[in-house]
Amino acid sequence: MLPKPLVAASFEPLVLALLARGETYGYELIQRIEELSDGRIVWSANRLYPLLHDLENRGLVAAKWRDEAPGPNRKYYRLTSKGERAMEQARRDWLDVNALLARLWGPDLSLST
Amino acid sequence: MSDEERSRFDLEKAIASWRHVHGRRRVFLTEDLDELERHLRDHTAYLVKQGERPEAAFRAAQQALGDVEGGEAEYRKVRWGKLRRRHQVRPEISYGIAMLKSNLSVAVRNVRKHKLYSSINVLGLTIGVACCLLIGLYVLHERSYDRFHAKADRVYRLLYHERQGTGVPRPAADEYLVWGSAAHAPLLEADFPEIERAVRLSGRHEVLVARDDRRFQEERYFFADPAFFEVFSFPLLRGNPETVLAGPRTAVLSETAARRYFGDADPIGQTLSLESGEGQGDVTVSGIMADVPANSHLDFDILFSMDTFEQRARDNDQAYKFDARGYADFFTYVLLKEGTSAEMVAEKLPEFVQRHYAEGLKDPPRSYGLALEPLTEAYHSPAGRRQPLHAGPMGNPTNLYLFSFIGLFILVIACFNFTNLATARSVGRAKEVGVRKTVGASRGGLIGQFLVEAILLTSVATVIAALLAWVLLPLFRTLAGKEISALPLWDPAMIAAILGGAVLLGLFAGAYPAFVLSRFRPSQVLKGTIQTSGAGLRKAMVAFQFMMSIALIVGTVVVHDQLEYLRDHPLGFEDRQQLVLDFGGDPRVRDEIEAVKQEFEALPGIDAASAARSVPGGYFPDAGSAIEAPDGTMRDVSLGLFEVDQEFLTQLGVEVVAGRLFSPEIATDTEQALVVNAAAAREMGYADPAELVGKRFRQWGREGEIVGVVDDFNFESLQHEVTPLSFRVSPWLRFLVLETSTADAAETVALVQARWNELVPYRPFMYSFLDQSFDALYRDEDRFGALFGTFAALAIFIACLGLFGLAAYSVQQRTKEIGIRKALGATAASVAALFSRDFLKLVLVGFVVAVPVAYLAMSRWLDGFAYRIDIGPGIFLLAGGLALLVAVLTVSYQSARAARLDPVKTLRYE
Repeated sequence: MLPKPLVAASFEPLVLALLARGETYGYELIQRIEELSDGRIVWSANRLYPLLHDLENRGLVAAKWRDEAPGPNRKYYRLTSKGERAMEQARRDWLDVNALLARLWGPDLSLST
Repeated sequence: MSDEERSRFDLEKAIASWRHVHGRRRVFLTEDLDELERHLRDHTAYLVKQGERPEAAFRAAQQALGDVEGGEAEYRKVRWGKLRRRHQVRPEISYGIAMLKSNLSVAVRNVRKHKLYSSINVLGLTIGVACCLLIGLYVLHERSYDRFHAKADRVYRLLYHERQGTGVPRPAADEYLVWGSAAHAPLLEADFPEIERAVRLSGRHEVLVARDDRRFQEERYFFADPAFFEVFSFPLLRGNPETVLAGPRTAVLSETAARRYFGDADPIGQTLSLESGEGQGDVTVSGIMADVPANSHLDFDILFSMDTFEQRARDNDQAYKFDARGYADFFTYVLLKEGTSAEMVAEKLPEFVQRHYAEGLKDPPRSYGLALEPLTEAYHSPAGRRQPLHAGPMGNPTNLYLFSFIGLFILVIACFNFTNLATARSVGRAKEVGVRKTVGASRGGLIGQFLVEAILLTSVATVIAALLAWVLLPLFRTLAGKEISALPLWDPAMIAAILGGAVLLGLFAGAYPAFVLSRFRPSQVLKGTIQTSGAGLRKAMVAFQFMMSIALIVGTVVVHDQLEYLRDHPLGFEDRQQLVLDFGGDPRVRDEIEAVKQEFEALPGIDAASAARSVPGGYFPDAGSAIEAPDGTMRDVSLGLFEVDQEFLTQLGVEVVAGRLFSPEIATDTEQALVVNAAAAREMGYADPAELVGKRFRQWGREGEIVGVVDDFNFESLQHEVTPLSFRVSPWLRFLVLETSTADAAETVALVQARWNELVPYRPFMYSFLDQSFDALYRDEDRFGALFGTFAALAIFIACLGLFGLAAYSVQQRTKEIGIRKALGATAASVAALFSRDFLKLVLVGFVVAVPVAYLAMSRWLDGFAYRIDIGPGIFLLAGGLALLVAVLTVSYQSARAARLDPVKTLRYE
């Protein structure tokens, strides 16, 4: 499991990135990220859903209920255009950080300027 | 039923149960629950597909979902955002308000249903809070002295101390003197750039002031330097503050003084006549000021310009009054410049003293020091208290502390009371709780209900208390003898604090029943098997209340006994039947004093007449004296000086220990004789006073022999030890003292007054009886005792209210037990005794703890008196007995009720 601060910081960009690939629902998001990260990131429902609702409050995602039997309906989330822009910004920010780290740590982990 | 059916049945039920638990939390909206439930089902289905059994899969899925508390926290963070987005905020708020309203109406209904207990609770708390508010106002008043001056933070009072010899240790705070020399002020202003102004105040010796035929003996006045109104912010209603005291022979009157002399006429420009004293002559009224507020340590009605005093002194060869370091008749205040500090000035003061006064301090060698004291501390300051003249009222820090503690005590007692009764009551409501929970009330809802009820009661009590305090304030003012302002009550910060306190108390008092009761399981409660925990805490609180009440009773008794002791203590001279007439040292009377005395002696009912400069209980200057020591050398000693005529000491019947008193027959007595008291003999090192007779003395321009030693008698309030005192015959007298022997004092006074008006028509007739004047010295203590006693009684009353309520509930709880006991043959008396015993044990515990606490506190208070009672066991027994008696009476009412209960009735409801 990645350290908590990293998991927390990467929550939003990862969710936005995943939603960019298409409309989906909460449980699927948890499963996909666990898969993609080889089990290093496991999101809890208690954290994910409030975050999705927060994104909805801020207008970055839009939600829709779909009828799926049996049991209650599923709430599907998709990215809005505002969300797309936010994702772009997040992407740039993370790539910047990543580039900086790559420079400092170098390909062979030796100290380089 | 097949396996599949059984497991599916499990799943739906499990999910329903899960949903029910989550559903009670208001933070989850229905759609949130739907979403989570969908998630749960998906995850369970996934695990089942992986090969798990349905039940295990569900448990794992539920585990993965997380606990409800964690979820609640996370969901709460985004809740308001969701509501806002859907425009559902207002319904939420309406919901909250509706809940509050419902809680309130239930609370009110509950209060109504249990009227007796509610009223007891509210009554006790109301009295407690009202007392606390009144005491709080008193304390605020006492601490507000002199703060109304605009420059108060820059004004300082000049203190000094003087000792024989050099290299003396630093003086204690109460060894500093205030009433001192005029010489310092102008020099300070010149030498110190930090000092913006230095002003002096003098006066307060009784003078006769007249306007036409209105004549009053004034004491509340000052001679003041011109910069007075620059330093102090006393509002000047008419006149220019810069010039109003600058001219020669001007006066500023307070509104009251103006009315006294001029009625409604305009006083400005008119003249008043000073018929005696330092500034004798006419003065012109140059200004009118508002009456001095109550919380000022400077108390005066009239200001005369300092020039009135100074000019006349210099003209009459008395410049030393203003120039000599050693002549004391002034109060000095300095105003520091902005940005300077008193410390900076204080550092340079020793050097200042050296620069100006070193010569005068050399022979005999003594040390002299100056100090600055902030104006705002003057009222409570210990400095200068033993000096004969004061600028105005002085506070008593010890009494203030005691009052603060009493106020706190009473508040704590009342709060304990309230909490105790609330928790006791809560036990009785356990059944109600059980029913509510069965019907589905949430724990949070119940807690809220209890808290609202408690806060309702405390708020009502507080509001009534504030009103009560306001209504009782005039009475309290009279009792305390102070003009306590009601203004702080209207201060918004104060109001907020009081209401906040009420809410806090409600929370605290409501918390215990709220949390404990709401935890009860309905089954327990309805069966009646709950444990009433917390009984130990309640008992401790009752014991604590009685401890404080008993301590207060002890305090009251000690104060009362001490005051009585002071009043009855033999003073060592004949203080009864002595009628004192004050003629203010008027030279017209003084010159004819022998004739005047004879005139009065001739009156029926008057046995003897004599005269003196002061009277016991009054002012005695210190006279630098030198007396022959046992080894023959002349030794300097500081003696109080009591100037008398030849008959005074004989008339007062002081006991002679060696030698003789003054005699009119012996001519040398008028100039060359001195009588001292035994304390003086001891001070000089004479073990046997008889040896002192015949020794030489030198004192203030006189030389001669000591002719007699008298036994120590109390010429000051019994708060002070008898200090060395000397007597000499002098024409500079002020009081006539007539020894009366009639039973009808009023008639004698009338006779004397008639004679006075014939003999001395130009002076007002001012009389007093010596023993009454002495008693008046203890007026402050009397007031303190009265207040103390009142509050002690209230504290006990409140404690008893609590006891009453608790006893009532105890009876209610144990009705069944009583029924059984009676059915088994117990008498009413034994049942009553059983009840009383439990409670009285608590009073006993309180007593045991109260004894050392009260002893220590009252010993401290008694330390302020040189003559004091011993705190004997009798006082404690009295206090304990009183508390016990009151407790017995309180509890016995309930016990009697308990004893009378019909066993048939109590055992019926099983």
